[in-house]
Amino acid sequence: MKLNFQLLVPGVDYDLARAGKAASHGWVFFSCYNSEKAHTLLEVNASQRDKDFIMAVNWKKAEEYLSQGKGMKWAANYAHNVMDEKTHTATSTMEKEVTVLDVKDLPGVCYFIPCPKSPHGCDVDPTGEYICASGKLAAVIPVYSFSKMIKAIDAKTFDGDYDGIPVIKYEAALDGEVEKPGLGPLHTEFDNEGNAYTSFFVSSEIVKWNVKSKQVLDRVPTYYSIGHLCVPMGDNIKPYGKYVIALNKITKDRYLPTGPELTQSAQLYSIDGPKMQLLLDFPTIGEPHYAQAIPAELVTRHEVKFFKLDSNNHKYAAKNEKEAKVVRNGNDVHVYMTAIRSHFMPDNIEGVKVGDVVYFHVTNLEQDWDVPHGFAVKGALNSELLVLPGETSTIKWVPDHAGVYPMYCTDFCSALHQEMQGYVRVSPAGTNTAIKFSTGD
Amino acid sequence: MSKLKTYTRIILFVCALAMIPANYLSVWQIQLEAPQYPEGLKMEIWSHKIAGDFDKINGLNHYIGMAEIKQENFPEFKVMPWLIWLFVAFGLLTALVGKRFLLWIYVIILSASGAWGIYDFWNWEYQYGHNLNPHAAIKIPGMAYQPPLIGWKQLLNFLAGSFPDTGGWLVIGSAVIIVLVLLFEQFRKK
Repeated sequence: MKLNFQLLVPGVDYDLARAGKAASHGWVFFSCYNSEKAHTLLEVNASQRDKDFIMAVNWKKAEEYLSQGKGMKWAANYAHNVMDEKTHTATSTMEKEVTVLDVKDLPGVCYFIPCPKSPHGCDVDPTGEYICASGKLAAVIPVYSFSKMIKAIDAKTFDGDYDGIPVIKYEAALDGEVEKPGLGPLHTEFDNEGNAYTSFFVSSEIVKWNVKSKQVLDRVPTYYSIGHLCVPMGDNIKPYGKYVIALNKITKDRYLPTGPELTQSAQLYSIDGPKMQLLLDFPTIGEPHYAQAIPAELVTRHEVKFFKLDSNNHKYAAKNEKEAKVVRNGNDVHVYMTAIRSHFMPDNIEGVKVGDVVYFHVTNLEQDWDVPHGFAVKGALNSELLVLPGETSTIKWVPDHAGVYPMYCTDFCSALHQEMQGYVRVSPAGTNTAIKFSTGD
Repeated sequence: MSKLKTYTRIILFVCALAMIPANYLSVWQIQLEAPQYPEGLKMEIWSHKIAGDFDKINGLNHYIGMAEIKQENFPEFKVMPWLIWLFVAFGLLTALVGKRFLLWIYVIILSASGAWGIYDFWNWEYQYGHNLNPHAAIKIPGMAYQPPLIGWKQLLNFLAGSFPDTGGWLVIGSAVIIVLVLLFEQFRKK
């Protein structure tokens, strides 16, 4: 990633963000908490004010300021990595500078909208007109209107400022509140019929409500303490709808206590009819944070089944077994290795010495769907390779003592996968064993 | 010498032209099906080359020690395009000249070529199916891997199918029509 610019904003906690879309394209909305700026015992000290903020950022405006040269240059240190799919190789550049825009001095970029108690989720509906904020400790879900917000900005309907950022009057930006929705709202997703689905951590439920009318339509229990939720393409302009998935924080009695932790739990519901219906209760991994589902066809039609060897431009590729070789260059040894069911070429290597740095460049010669090969060599302390069909990958290996080291395929490739192995002989430092390599001798 | 009927000559003309695409399409196909190949494997035999998934099939065949299927191994690919052009040219000639004896010669050429083609194909299948590397990883006593001449046959985990492809159907279809036309002409004469 390369940073175009950064914004210098007040020192509160910024939590979740959603980009505006359609009507609100050009804006981003952030939830903020700890507007108390507490630095200790935040549990209490960051929960004092009735309202925190939603921060609305006009990034198109920020870009204008950037092009007018309004930014400051600050020292930075971050990696800008770019993967080249043709050479199967990445470049990494350390960037030393970033442009910072101070939003205090640049009117029109940044606004705060008050939001009840410690908001977490900040979700934009498919039309881009409505922004729903979920105050974790709030009794209502405020739904803001983008067009009302713009009117309030034009009319300067402000309620003072916070650290130099204008605070829009709550009522001026508000479209309405969902009354008594539940306890502990966290996240909201949308269907294709103008309805919203909000997760409630404390009351362990999903609540369906209508975005325009703000009426609660249905509620369904989750098992237990739901965090994120997902309606297929529910954060998109055109949600696919049909299902909602509950991703829970707490599992308790749902599955066998296999240890060390309880597995995590999730539920799949149908939202096709007027009542949400539980379809499947299933274990999952992680502590499931954010998920998105899309129609399978959007993935399958872009699937690359294998890389074509002809267009593999990796600098160290061996595109057939005749190109396999071992080359010494000072203390560096480059192994141009091929893998195909079920052998490496070369699979016997001699002439490596202690003190050498060995690079195995493994090219998978397979040109078939789902036939990766793996590569590991004993003494490679931190990684092994997974090489996809037609791809070339490199592993660096620094043997630390003389001996014979096995190397082997680590991804089950065929009935003879376990036979897919070979050996490297490492000679003591200072010896003059010549480089030698072979397969099948 | 007796002349062929006009419609016979028209049919011959059309059949001769219909064989031209056979030089630009796959003539025969060998299909392989197995549970882990839901997409199937297909090798195409054109008049001048092999195409399709033969690299993948070679990769699988090495387990049982079958020889590598390579374009260079088949001198037929130098002959077959000319043979098809001969079918086309002789068909057109017969249609234009319209002599019965030419049609007889044409049918003899087609039949002889067909017989040779079937034998040659069977022979290659036999060679590939039986001449196995004695050091192969998988050896099953008594097992040969000769694909069927035409139709389906189970070979270990693969169901192998051998069928004419589009180009082949054009030649076979034309040849059958030409033979029928000759029979019809003979029948009419009596």
